[in-house]
Amino acid sequence: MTTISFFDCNATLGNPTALTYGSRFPTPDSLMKEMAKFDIDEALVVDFAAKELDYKIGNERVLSAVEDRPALHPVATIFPDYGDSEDHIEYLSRLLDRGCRAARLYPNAIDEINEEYIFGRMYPFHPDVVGPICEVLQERRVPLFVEMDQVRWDEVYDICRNYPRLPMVLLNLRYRHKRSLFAGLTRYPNLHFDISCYTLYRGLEQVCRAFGPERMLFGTRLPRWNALWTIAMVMFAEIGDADKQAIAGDNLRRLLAGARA
Amino acid sequence: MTTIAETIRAGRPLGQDVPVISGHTHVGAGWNLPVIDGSGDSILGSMDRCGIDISCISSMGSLSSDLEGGNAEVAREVERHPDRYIGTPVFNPHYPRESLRELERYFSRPGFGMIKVHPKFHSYAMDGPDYDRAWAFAAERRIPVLVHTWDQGDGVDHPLLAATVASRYPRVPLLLAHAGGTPAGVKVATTVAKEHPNLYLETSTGQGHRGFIEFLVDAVGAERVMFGTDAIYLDDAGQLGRVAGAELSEADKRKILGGNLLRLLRAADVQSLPALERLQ
Repeated sequence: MTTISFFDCNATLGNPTALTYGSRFPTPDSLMKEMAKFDIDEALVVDFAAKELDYKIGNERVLSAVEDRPALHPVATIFPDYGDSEDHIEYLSRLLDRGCRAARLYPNAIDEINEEYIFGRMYPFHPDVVGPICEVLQERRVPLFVEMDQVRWDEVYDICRNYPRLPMVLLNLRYRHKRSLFAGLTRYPNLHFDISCYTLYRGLEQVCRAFGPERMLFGTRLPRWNALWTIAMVMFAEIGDADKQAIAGDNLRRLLAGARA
Repeated sequence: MTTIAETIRAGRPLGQDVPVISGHTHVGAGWNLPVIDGSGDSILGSMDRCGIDISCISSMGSLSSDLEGGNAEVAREVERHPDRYIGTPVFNPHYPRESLRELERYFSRPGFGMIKVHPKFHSYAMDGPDYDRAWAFAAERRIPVLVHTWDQGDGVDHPLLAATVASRYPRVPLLLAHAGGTPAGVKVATTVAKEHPNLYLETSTGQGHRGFIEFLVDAVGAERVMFGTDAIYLDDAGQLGRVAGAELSEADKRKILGGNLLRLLRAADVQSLPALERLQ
């Protein structure tokens, strides 16, 4: 078997508001240590602060964390803040100019432990609200990541349809999402998903058969999830090594390489 | 020497020196859940790739509206692969007499070693009186019973209810499937398991929390934590990976992956279990 190189699309730094079983990586080096333990070569990272405190603070922490750590790659977290002193589109462009090749939106504040809304919806994932963000990302081919418990499927389909050149990546899909996922993958070539929570029995094999491996991205959901959980799903899947490598890292590398500064 | 984690990381099945038994595997289809291939042959292929020696199988049909047909499906698979499968008939409390007949029928045969109950699917509280026939049957023979537990739910599958059953039937080894599931449920499951030595915690869930397996072991010791996959819903490999990747000793991982359930199955007063012979 050839060596498979893993590139994690779903890792988070910093201190979460609520801990599950005490798991966290307060420093970039503690995350790097966990990555080394399981031979994960690279990771796309956000900081819990971007989701749970203030996205601008979180972005600065991420950009600081990736300095001198070429294995870590920053994700720009953006909120549709109209009317602020700095327009959110200008702010997003500045983040992309500073090296972010991926973006995240958090339409809801979610209690990750109990998977419940804390405040209810912060804003809809709808072109009227996030359209200008999607236009910038589409223009620069920067992949947009959203967590599945933050959005609805009809919203995902609408965004994919309205911005067909925007690489869309859904995070944290569960096995029960299979039918909605397949409908989306069938209709929207720009739709991708992270496999960290897609634990359906023989699920990766089925997606490979139906769509090829290109739409799946390896993610760990560190520090919440155990990394060997998803690694094992890839390594033991009944698919060829080339397909494993695509899922493990090459699909994400391809998406990031396509993003324009 | 290669560790369990290193072997799984490399995508290699664990060798004969690490017996692996899934105490929680399904065949068939039920509840219109998105099953890709629930056949016994499919599961066997997955077990071979991952190095799972034995799976205790129950039928999804029995857990939904086909009690007898589902149990018969399990019997066919056990007959076809007696060295790999251990039959786990389902008891449905809405059909207590029929369910008891099913237990009597299948436990008179070789290859059956566990009972499955699912309070959530059957919409019936774990400590309700129509489960009594199942508990009494299991107690008389020391048959392990796998019972679904999840969060605090609507009350029927709350892990707290297991304390009542465990107290009334101390001879029944009661395996709490998913160990309570959500972090809130897991806290309750571990609390009641500490108080009742006949409660065991089964590891399968769709939530891959880092530190979960270690939390169970800290609470009740490695001897009462047992591996399960929940295939054909959940992927075998992921469930194996989370145990292999836990911060535990190799000895503890061996107990969880197979040693503990092997001990319980050997202690059960049932007909022969040919699958266990492969682990001699």
